[in-house]
Amino acid sequence: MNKKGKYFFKIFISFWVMLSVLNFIIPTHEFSENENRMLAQMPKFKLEELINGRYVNKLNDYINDHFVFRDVWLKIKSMEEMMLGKTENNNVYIGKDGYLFEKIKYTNESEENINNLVKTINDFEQNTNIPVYFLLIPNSIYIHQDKLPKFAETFNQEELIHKIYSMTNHIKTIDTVDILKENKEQYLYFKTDHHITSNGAYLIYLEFCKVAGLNPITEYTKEQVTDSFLGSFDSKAQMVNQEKDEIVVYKNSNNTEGITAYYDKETTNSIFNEEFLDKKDKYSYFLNGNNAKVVIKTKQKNGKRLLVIKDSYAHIMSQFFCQNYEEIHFIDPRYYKDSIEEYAMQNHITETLFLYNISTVI
Amino acid sequence: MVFSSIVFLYIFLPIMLLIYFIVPNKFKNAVMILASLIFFAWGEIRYIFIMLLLAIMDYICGQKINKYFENKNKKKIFLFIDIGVNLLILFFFKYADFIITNINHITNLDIPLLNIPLPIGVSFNTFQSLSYIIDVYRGTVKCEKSFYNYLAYTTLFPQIIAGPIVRYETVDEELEEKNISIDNFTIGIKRFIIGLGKKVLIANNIGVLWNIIEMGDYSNLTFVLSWFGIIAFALQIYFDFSGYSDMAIGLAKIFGMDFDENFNFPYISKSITEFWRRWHMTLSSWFKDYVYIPLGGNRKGFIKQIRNILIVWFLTGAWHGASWNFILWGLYFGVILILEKLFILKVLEKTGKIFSHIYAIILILIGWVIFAFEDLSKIGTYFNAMFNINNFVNNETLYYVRNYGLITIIGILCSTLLIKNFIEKLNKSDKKRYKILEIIFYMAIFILCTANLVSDSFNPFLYFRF
Repeated sequence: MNKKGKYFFKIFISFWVMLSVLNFIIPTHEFSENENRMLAQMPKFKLEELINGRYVNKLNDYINDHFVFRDVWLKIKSMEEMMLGKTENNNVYIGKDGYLFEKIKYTNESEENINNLVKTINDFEQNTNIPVYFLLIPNSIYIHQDKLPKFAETFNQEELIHKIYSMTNHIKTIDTVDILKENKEQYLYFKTDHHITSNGAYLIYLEFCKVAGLNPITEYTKEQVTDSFLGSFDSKAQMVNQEKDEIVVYKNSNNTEGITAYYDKETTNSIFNEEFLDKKDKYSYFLNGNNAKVVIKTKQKNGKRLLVIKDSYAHIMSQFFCQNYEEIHFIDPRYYKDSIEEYAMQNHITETLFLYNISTVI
Repeated sequence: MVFSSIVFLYIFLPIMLLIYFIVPNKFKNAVMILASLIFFAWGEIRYIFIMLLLAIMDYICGQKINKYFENKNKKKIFLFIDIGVNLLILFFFKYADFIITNINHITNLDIPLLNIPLPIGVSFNTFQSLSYIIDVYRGTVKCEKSFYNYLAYTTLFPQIIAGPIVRYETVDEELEEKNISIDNFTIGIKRFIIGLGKKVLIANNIGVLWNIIEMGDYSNLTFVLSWFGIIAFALQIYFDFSGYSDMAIGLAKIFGMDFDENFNFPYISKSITEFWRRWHMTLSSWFKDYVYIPLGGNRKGFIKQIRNILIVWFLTGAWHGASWNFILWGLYFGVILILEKLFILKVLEKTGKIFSHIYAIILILIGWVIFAFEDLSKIGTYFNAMFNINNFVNNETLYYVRNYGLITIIGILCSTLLIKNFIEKLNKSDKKRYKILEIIFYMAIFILCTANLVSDSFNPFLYFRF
């Protein structure tokens, strides 16, 4: 072979050996900030799992998750998808005006999940006799469907919400779709994350007050706490040059003063946690991220104790619940494994709110 | 283990090659055997013992046939023992449940299924063993004197899970003495990267579309999407399968061995006869040499020739999986090949290139529909969509065309000789800028493949039925 042919050999070998060696020596992390998830762990060796092949599968996951420069490879993959003219990456649509949307599908399983949820709610009302509110929040993919990539479609969440509400008995349901649709020109949902913004949460709060017969508090100072939030959709899509989100908080003395917050692992005097603003997972600024149970005591002395059975969409709502309740108990049934009905009785709950977004219930 | 994985590319292969090149020549086969066993055990550990026992049997039978070479009866006994046991193992793993299901269906019996998972690579392995023992019987190759070399041949990891089917005569000398050099290493690694790119960048990316369609609801499939979908499947299976073969051939070259080619741009064919000369060539030639010709081929009259063709294509179909659709797929091509022999080839000569090409492509695509669905009723539903212009197109279809159009065009271009000519031009030219372009070309493929594998994109293994 001529001399020029050997350049390829040398370059390839250097590159390959370098990566293989670096992969061995560079220490790895357990948690990926960038993707906001725990990486696969080194599997424990079990003879049984070696024989049925599961051990090797786990080992493969471990090796992939811990490959050197993982974040760079994910960005390269995302660029490849862009160059192929794809309007999605890793199950996330790349929409207009910087909006990302995770694909969600209504399946046969969804039907079953919904039936189970409605039954839980109906039973709860019957067994405890506590007034129950039910609040479903549509996802950005439905409210902002005009921002979906060309030809992409999504199912009708408004119809679904009405259908679910019609299955309940003696439950006060709160319609949020109309108000969100009417105000969709506003910044209601994060572009890079699945949650609603404080603006969206405020509109939903006003609707909740109407049904619950509360006097909504309307005096706030809006404070931007960060302008560099890249949320869960971006973690999946790994976009290059993605427009970042800002997080705004509606503050007044009701949600900043006289608060005691009991989280799973600590007790503080705030429903906000600034530490998370320096991390990737900035949404956890609200209510300290995912806890099985959070109890908030406010300076209100009206004897109203609200139990919120919820997913993480409720976290950003907490700033508004502080306006009208003496105690707010948040329970996430994904992590809280004891009886919630008993909990409600023991803690003299006066009202219960089931609050979910559509992607959680289907 | 599969080639298209981080484990293989950045852990297994570098370590294995390092050891392989350091040890003296006589230990190279040992490294190869050990590596093959680890490679195979990574996911298919149960079959290793059967594979080793079969290797011992093949070796002994080969020796005996050689010893009694002049004694026709005795040597026949050992031939039949070896063929019998090999086929029995293949039948047991691959076809037992299929046969039981059909017996149950016909007789209304309820014989319980065995539910034994099919070991990956068993069909390739069996066919290699059979070619060895038959060739020794025929005297076309010498029997392998060293069990160590025979074991290296039969476990050879580059081809063990997805071909090509390597005959003993192709590698017998190289089992003894390998052609290791930087030149061969370079040629091999380039070939490997091409194969990896075919599998990871083209097959996997197009495969996503086919996967969506396959999982979806065919009753509402539009005309455009049904054709777009089956083209996606055709490209996926070609780039996946030929990518694996390229990787195997490239690896063998690195190790200093030469394998036979397995694919030669099948989609440029102008007839089905030509297609099967370009598609999975080592399988077609295996059936030709060990089934078609021993049955008499075309030398015993036309009726027997037709019978022989149908037998070969029944078996070819069944080789691809224990299910009626594969058998149907084989026979479908058998019948077309007979008709081509009878008159179609003569007609095609007159109609010109473009028509012949369209003719071949459409028949191949129809074949892939049969191949793709084990459930025969789904084949019918799919054909309905392909021939129902009323349900022409919808937004969903346009979304897929928008998202998978470019990769499909790339796939189609890479199925033609354009890409081959480009690669050869890069390789042969001495101009500096071509050499730089070549380095960029291969490095870019390798880097992109790594990115795809790390990000855990869609990466299916398609040969678990073979």
